Amino acid sequence: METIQNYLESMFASLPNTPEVIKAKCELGQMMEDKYTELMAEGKSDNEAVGQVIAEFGNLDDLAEALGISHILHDKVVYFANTRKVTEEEVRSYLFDATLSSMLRGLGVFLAIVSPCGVILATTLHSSNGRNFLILGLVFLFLAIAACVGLCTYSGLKMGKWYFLKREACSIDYSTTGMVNDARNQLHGTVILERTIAVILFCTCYIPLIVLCMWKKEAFFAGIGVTILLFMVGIAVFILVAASGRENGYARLLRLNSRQKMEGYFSEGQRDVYYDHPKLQAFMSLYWPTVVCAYLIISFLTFSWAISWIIWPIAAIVNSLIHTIFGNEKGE
Amino acid sequence: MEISSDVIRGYNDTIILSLLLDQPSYGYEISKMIREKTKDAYIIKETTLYSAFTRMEKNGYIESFTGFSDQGKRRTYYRITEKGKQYYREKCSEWDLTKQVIEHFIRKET
Repeated sequence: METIQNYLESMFASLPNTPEVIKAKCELGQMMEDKYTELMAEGKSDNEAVGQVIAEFGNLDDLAEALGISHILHDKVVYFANTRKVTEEEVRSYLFDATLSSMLRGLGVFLAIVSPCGVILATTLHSSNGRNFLILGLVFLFLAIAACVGLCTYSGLKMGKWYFLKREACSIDYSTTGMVNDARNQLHGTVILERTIAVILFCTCYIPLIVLCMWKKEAFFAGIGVTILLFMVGIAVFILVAASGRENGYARLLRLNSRQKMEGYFSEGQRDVYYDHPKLQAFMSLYWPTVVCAYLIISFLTFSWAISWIIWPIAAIVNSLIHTIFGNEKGE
Repeated sequence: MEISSDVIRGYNDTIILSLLLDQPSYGYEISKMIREKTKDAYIIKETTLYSAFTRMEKNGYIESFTGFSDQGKRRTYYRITEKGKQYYREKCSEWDLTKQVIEHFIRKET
């Protein structure tokens, strides 16, 4: 019966989502189900029954007049020629790449956040070879930033081959969409857990610093406290970046199918955001790099690493504020 | 030998209306009755049947209503209207005439 349902779904996939089409699909489904049930009751095998039901279904040209879709059937060839069908294999490979590349990007951001740790520890350490430690710290800083840039670039390149998903008209078939949707629903619990861990890390990151400072009044312990704080913030940001990248991958696939067609499962939320104002659009594309620069510049000029991380949550809030106020969601 | 759908197309409505004269019915039952009455010589396609339903409903020959199957599932039933009965009679006499005309050109041996 599932084969029959899939067949019906694929026949109707490219038709417009109108009351007539929905009614026709529903009633044809009833007829096919009745026939299938009776053939099975007559003692036919599942394969035979499915084969006969599909063979005797007819074709959509018969329905054109009844559904008022003659012009669409006529254009269908053009529609199919211009629509790239994304196969199940491609879908799996895309989801893998999206997950991997968002983890790499998250790792890059993590390294950027913890990069000043070495320098902080070295400057708070009162010892004769503090200078050597400072050099080591600086080396770590630059290596971490270089790695961050490398990881972000690599992850961008990795996703480059999937650019066609954004640019071209694509569609995925009914059963694959169902698979993506199921996989996304299964991840729901994980996503909640990840967000919770990230929030807890954000909320508690000050505690080690306060405890250490109260325990010993030495600058070195404050340095360790700040290092722990940066690591906790870094891990939290890593989790959020990785989780949202993976989530966006699923959302993008589910968004490929148009809500005006019968293809089924479309995701309403999380559409691409764009801005009417070209300058704002340009600014927003450089938003996160600007934040990284601001974070590093302010931190280096003031050397107040203990507080400068607050830029990250603020930047995230400002980002979603701008999205909500000025952003338009890309519609059909 | 199979019947070409071009020939029978003009009489799908007549076939369906004749079955609805006895009692209201639904999609699969009608297709089953057609098959049984013709001893598998004519098997109507689901899409053909559905488009005949919508066309005749639009013309007022039949009416649809929701009924329930033995298992309690919702199902669309169709019943014939007065206009439909009249149309059916017209088609029957048209067929008599058609048959006579064509019969002149059918040679039993060639």
